[in-house]
Amino acid sequence: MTPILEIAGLGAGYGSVPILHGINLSFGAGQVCGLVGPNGHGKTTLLRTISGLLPTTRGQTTFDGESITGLPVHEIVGRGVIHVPQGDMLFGEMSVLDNLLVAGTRLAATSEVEDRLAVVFDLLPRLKERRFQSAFTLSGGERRMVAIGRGLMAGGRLLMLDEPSLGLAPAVIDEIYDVISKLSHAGQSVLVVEENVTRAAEVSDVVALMDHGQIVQVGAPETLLSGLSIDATYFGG
Amino acid sequence: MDTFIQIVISGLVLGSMYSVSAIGLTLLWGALNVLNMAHGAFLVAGGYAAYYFGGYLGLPAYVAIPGALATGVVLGLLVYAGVARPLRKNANFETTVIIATVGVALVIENLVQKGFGAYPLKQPLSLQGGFNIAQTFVPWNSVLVCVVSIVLLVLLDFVVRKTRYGRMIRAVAQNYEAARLMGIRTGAVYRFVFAISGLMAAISGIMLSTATTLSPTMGYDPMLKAFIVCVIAGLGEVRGALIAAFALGVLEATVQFQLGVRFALPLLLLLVVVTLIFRPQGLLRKNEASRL
Repeated sequence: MTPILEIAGLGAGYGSVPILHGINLSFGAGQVCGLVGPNGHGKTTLLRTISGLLPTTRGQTTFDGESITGLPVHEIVGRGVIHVPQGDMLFGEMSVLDNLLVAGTRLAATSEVEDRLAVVFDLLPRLKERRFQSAFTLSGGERRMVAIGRGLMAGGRLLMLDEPSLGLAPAVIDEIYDVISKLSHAGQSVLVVEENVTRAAEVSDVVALMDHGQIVQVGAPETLLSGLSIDATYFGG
Repeated sequence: MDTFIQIVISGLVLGSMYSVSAIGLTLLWGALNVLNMAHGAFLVAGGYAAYYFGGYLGLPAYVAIPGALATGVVLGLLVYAGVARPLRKNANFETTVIIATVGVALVIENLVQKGFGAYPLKQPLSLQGGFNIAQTFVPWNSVLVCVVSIVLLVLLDFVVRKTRYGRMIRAVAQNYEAARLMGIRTGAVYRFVFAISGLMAAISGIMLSTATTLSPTMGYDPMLKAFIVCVIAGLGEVRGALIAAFALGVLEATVQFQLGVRFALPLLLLLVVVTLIFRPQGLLRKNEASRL
């Protein structure tokens, strides 16, 4: 299987403080990759570096066979790498529909926009009901759905979700993960950052464990879950 | 009755000028957090450019006016490229850009003074004549000013609220990083808003100079009024600024008529103080956090 995303020796940080120390990660098209690890170990930084928000200091990111290292954010988005940020970052004063349409700005034809909208509303029917409502009036789960919907509208060939379960009630997390597994069945490539290892393992084909700015273990969810390194990473054991 | 009509008419004319000038200011703030202190100088440049093309070079109005508008657009783009863009990465962008644009204003004003002199000039491009309503003389020029302002503002409001470009502007205003992650080219949005703001300033400058005279400092008063409109409406409000501008125009005309000219400005400033104390987000704004 050709890898959809291939990261080799990637380094990045904030100012002079390095956070990522040579990340290596690769997974195939149509796969869901779960990126797990405790807080503050560089998971979000990795997503921000892939999407171009943070400059790469060393190493290489290849998307679908082509290097996207150092490209401006809008070009990386244009290739189909969509970063759904932590905390949703919706356009609060805009309606749900406008939020989705902003994400579809790059699509040239109106028919394309409408097709894409139909797909999003099909997957997330609640958004269709709420489409004329201001984003800030939505519940946490609905906001998360708008964020994911926006990612799909933007034409995400690879959807990178940063902690989709953050701050949601367990029942709502179930709903969100339902959406992720539907996406996965439809052949969507997803990179999902998650603190909850069990949640990530449920939907992932590959799980990568991150520790101190490095990927310390990659494997199928079953092998990783039964291994000891997770306990060691989380509990320092 | 005559007095009433006169007050309303001069209030509407004042209001139209304030509104166009306030919109340029408020759009830049609402979309990009840029308080452009050179806005008044943009007005001056627009007015003098019209004078230069129409009076000095003697070009017809249909060439001179577009020429003056283009001057405004170019100035807006230059300030973006030369001032706002280099400062954008700065942590204190919002304050440094205020100081930098004060500098830009001084440069423009002094260049104008050097080129055209400090004495007031008459704007050749104004409509002559007028008509009477109930024994009140209404100059055609005032009618034109009113109509142009209203059409412009309705058009701009439509662009911001309904079009693809407007959605991009609002997205950048509400969440810069999320807008980038949706693939919006934020640099292009910045350029567009600066260009529109410069255009609005030029239009406002031309209108103002047709109603009064040209002078290198003629931008200060309308910029002050634009600030007053923005504070009262709430900075960043396009529709609010339109309503506030007309309301304040009529209020100013009424006070000038009934109490005397010298009371108008103090009263407006008093309104600003009261607004800032009791409703700092502006009278016409729903909540403090709201942007465009």
